[in-house]
Amino acid sequence: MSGPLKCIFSLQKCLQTFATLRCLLPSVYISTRECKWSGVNLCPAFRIATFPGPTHSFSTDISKNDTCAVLQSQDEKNSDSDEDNTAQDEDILVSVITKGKQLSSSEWEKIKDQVLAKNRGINGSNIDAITIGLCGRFMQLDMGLSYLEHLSLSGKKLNIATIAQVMRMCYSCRLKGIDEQFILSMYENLHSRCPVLDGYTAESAILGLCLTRHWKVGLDLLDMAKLTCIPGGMEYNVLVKTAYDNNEPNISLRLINEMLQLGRSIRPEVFHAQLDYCNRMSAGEKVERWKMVEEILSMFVEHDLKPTVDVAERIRVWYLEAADPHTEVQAQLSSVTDGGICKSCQKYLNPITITKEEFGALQSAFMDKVVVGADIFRKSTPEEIKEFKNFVKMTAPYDMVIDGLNIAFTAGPKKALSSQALARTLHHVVKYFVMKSKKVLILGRKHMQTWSPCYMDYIYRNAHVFLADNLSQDDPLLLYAALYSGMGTKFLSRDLMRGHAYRLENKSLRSTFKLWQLQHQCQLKYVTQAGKVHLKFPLTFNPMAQVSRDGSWHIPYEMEFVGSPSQSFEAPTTWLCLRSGKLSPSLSQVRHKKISRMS
Amino acid sequence: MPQDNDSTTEQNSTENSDFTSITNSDPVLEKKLKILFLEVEVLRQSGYRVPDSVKLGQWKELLEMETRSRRRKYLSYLFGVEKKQENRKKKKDEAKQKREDAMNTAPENTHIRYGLGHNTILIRVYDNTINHFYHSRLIQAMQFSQKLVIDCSYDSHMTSREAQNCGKQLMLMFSDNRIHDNPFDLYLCNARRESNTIKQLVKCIPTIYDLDFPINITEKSYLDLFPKENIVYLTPHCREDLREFDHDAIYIIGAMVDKGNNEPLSLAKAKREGLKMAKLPLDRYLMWGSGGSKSLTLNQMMQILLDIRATGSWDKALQHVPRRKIITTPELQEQCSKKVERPKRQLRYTIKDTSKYC
Repeated sequence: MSGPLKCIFSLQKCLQTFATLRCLLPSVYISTRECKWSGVNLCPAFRIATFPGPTHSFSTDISKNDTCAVLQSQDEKNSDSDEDNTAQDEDILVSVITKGKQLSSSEWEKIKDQVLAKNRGINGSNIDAITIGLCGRFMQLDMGLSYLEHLSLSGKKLNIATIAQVMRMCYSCRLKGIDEQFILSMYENLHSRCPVLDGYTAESAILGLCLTRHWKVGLDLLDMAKLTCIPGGMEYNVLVKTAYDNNEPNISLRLINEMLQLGRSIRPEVFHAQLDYCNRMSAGEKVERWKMVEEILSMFVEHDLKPTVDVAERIRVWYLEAADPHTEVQAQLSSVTDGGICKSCQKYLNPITITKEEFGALQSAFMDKVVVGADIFRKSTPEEIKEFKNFVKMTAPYDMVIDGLNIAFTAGPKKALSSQALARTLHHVVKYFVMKSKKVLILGRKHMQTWSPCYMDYIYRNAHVFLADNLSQDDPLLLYAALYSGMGTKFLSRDLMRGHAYRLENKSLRSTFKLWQLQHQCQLKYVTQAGKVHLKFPLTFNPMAQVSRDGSWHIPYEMEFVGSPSQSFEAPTTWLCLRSGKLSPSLSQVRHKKISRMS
Repeated sequence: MPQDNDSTTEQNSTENSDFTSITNSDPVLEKKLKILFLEVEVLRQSGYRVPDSVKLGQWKELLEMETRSRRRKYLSYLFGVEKKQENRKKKKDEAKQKREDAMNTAPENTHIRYGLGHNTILIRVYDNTINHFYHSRLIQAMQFSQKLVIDCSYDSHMTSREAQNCGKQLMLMFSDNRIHDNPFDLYLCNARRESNTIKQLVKCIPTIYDLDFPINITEKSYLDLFPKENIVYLTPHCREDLREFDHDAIYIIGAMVDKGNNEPLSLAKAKREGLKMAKLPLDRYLMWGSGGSKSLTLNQMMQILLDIRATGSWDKALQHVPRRKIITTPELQEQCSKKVERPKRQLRYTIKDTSKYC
């Protein structure tokens, strides 16, 4: 080590001009003197241990569980991890409120002092909103009102968040009966202090106002909320319901369109409100009523909505009531076979239809958005794309496009397979199609040239093969080839292609893609070593709400309200079948019994 | 203008600062900013974790966020930072108080004080001396050693948080380099001053743009500085392993924290520019466990490259990969026992169809 030391002494004078770099030592967040001494350690291993330090190393004084429950609306599924509802801070308040006993002003004062003294999370400015929020959550309207009384007695002014929480509490306890004037006065107070509201307050105000006659102000508040955020599903649902209850269907339909665009789901209460509206408007006239309900059903068809079982039951009953006594009608909760036959009416469901324009749009958009994307080099190279385009132009149209690697790996786990096993699997699948005289295109990668020749020979001789670079993604190419060939081509892959669907940013393109995928994607179930191939063919019928040419309705429903659109490619199993038709008189009595078959 | 009459000093302090710099006098943004003031206040009153004061730059970030949940999470982070600072300050004051008390209550000392901070026979080596030593070595490296390029052009593909992490990793990379016996000659190419990464790097090393600081930062691309035949781009998405470390080649590492973005950006860049590509032979020398992705931080990469250059042995170099990513013994035993079981089962069903576990 004498060499470097000599270096130091000789260079020290000229190096004195260099800047000091204390800050280069790894920033340990609790930097005390001791750490700095040891940080000068020359051993690199120490540095790994100190990086990366946690960015939130709280001291133990602050309790991590915090009282952030109050602003969670019912619809928010993604609750943050830091909003722990079972916080230790809230325990006192929770235990008091759940008892449900009305407390006097001095008792509230004592409890408040207790809570404030105990912890740091709740302080003077947020205790009011938190308390009222808890009352709302536990539906203790009387306790909430008594707390407000206590506040007014002590002369403390309500802050914005407290007023918002009061309105929320009124909404969640609406069944107990709220004084309309009370809510309106609260809203006046809020409005005079803040003419422009933020997202959270606006939402709470909408909930409160929908219980009063000035619910239309809620629409302005919704527009105000849109300035800074995307309004939540709850507000939309409540507004739509209120609009129906007040006989304003145009507003409701506009809001429904908006919320579906934003991806919010419609709750069953809204459908019930819609049905009630139809009932009121038709004034008991069954046939009139049914006509209005048919509009609702058309909405289901257009937007691919699924009602819950209670809504479906109501619709079914009304259909039967609206029926002409001379025609036989059928309304049953049934199921659908894999072939697309409804078990109750024994008829085929409609096939999936994609119009030529939609398909054309999908074809042209696909190359731009999915294959090329932001940067062509991320998926492939320009030369390869050009080559592939020419190849497809020359050899299209195909009957089946196969994702070679995806299929080959169905034989087992990736590491356990030899190239011979992979080639053999692929060979069996290709043979299956060739035996049925189908024209097949196989997409693979250049390393497949090294696979076992006896199987690959058969494949090269009997099918078209395109081998992409080892570094390219083959899925977009597969989809492009299938789309290019037109509506008659199916493709075979186990991949759900969700990432590629996402890249088509347009909502209508995405839904067209999904329909096309449902209709054209085959999946491989298994391939045996001997050569037996079992495929799952795509759906032949439309799995969404539909009306057939003879006027019968088939609506899929779900047992419970789920809220998020179904991601799976399985068809729904529970359907509502409504049809009218002439039946033989002997069977009519039997059929009119309301058999609910739910499989 | 939201007039919240709550007695918080925050409202007053925000109104005094100048917000036209972040809104550029756009009335829509100004309105949005005012609504955001109210939103932060409402969150605070509802018990959410919100800092007491939000700085100008932080308002700018909040203004750019579209969804409420993102703003909430960001505010929660700022709350944490604020509380940490407060606690640190409190501890510092307490320690100071203790020291003063100790000094006041200590017995009178007429002789000199012995101790590490006072009189001792050990030479006191200041940080400056060590820094000068490291830098002298770095200056030598800049003259004679192999070059290593860091490509900082990925700032637009990272979120601001990722970019800040990247800047910190660059700083650690520099420090790992200067500590090593045989440092590289570091080049930071495509390093724009306005990018979040470089801003964070300058925050960590304020003097980095000084003329006598031993690093090369340039906004030019490496293609302008070095000949193409020598360049090898290290990217995890390509197929070829780096077998031997070439001492004449100029290796490029992409400065990217890609926790959010899974796309092969560095691969795309290298393909477009027609450069040779390679990846570290992690699969060949290490058994990867189930936890931990195969992405390595920049300073880990630096340590690996420094060691492979110095020793030529991949086993030694790849010791810098964090141990938690490597397979643990119980997991390995489980995998091995599974492999033993399978042939046993196969023996039983030789003639019949083996499609059951295909």
